[in-house]
Amino acid sequence: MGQEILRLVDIHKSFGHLHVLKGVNLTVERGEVVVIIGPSGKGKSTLLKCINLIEVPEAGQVVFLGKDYMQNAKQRGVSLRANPDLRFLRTHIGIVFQQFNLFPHKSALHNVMLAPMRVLGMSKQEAKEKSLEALERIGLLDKIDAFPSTLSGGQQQRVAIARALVMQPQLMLFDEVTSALDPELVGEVVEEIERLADSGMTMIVVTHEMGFAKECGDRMIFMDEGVIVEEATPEEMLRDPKEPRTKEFLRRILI
Amino acid sequence: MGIQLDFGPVIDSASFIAQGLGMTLYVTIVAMALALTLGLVVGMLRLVKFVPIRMMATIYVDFFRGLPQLAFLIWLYFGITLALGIHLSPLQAAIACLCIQEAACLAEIYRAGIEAIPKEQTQAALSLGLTPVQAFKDVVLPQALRIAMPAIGNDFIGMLKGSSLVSILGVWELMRVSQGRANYFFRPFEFLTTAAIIYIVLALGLERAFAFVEKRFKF
Repeated sequence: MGQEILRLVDIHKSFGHLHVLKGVNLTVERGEVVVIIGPSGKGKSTLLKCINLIEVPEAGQVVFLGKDYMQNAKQRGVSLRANPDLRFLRTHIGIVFQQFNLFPHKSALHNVMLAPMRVLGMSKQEAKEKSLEALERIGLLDKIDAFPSTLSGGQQQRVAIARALVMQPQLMLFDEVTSALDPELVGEVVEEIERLADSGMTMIVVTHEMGFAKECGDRMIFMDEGVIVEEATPEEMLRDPKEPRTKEFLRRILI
Repeated sequence: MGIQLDFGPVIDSASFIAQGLGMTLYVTIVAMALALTLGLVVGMLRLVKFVPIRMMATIYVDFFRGLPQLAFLIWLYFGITLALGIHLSPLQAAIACLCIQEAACLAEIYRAGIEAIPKEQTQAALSLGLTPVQAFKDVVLPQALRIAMPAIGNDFIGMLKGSSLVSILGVWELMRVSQGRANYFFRPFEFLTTAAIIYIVLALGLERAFAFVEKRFKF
């Protein structure tokens, strides 16, 4: 640890009149597992989408591997969407969503193959090999030809994880990836993320799975009303939260 | 009771009718193929954020969708081409007219299909590093087409039937051939019934073909 991989400085983001992020500062070091908890609809997902600039903050810095992508965008005077440097950022940051967001018209294998071919310029054969490896790691080799609609939620989410991992990201973002799953399917997905954490992957995980947070989290962050309210190790925060809002939140979810 | 039915002249005219049928299919398929492309362009322009471009696309759709096909055919062939000094053959005018109007309808079908795809699909594609164009081409468009397929099939059948209007410009397609032959033999009932049956069979065939394609594209 020690090497900074991501630094967010004073991130602000609004949707119309709704001020969702009100100055978020966060630094993540290589190998760290940062767990973000907090009430729904208070900016956790938006924060993750601001990191790979799928949502563009109004103000602040997004520094990834020492380079500020917000500054970069301003200097170029082009919209972030058309900025080719964004490709680097997005290729090296993987994200998995709450609703999986697999491509329903593609089989599991082709969901995983798309980005290696289109973004990394791999040949079809090479992309297929890499994708099969990724799907093998998550134990879904028998489902490669299945379409998302025929897979269980847990399987879909695991394919989504493979789809992100095949790009060999340096940072993984998980946005409440188990919230849309039936309770009995949560385990297989959490296991996958735990294994990834054990392998040394740097990640930011928005979750309500306190077991996972305790097991794998190096740092826990409580977010509410668009700011970081409290930050501690998971054991500390779960045992002895300092802020009243944190206490209130943990009391409600830990019942 | 009226006259004795006699389908003999129809059978004698089989080669004429076959030629008319060929022309009907030619006009329909060529116009539809062009309209599928033009409609996609117009439909995408309808979604562009830059207002003037979007407005132009909207005006195109509103104008050509509101114009009666027969009026447009006559206006295009006898009016506009003369006014602008362009020489179009009846066949060219017929295809241009059908294509331009059909593109306006297809643009709306495409647009509805594209708008039906959740923005999370685009976000997922962009998150993987795809460019906006790739995200559209590889992720949004295939799903949008799947949604648009039944409506496109419907329009295709409409186009087939609409092609009978171009007989007014003197294109020797199924309708005009049937009328000509009917007048020649003075057997309107026999010839027009035959034409009607051919149209219905073609429409059924198209419907089956589209049902097959829809099934293939199911996911």
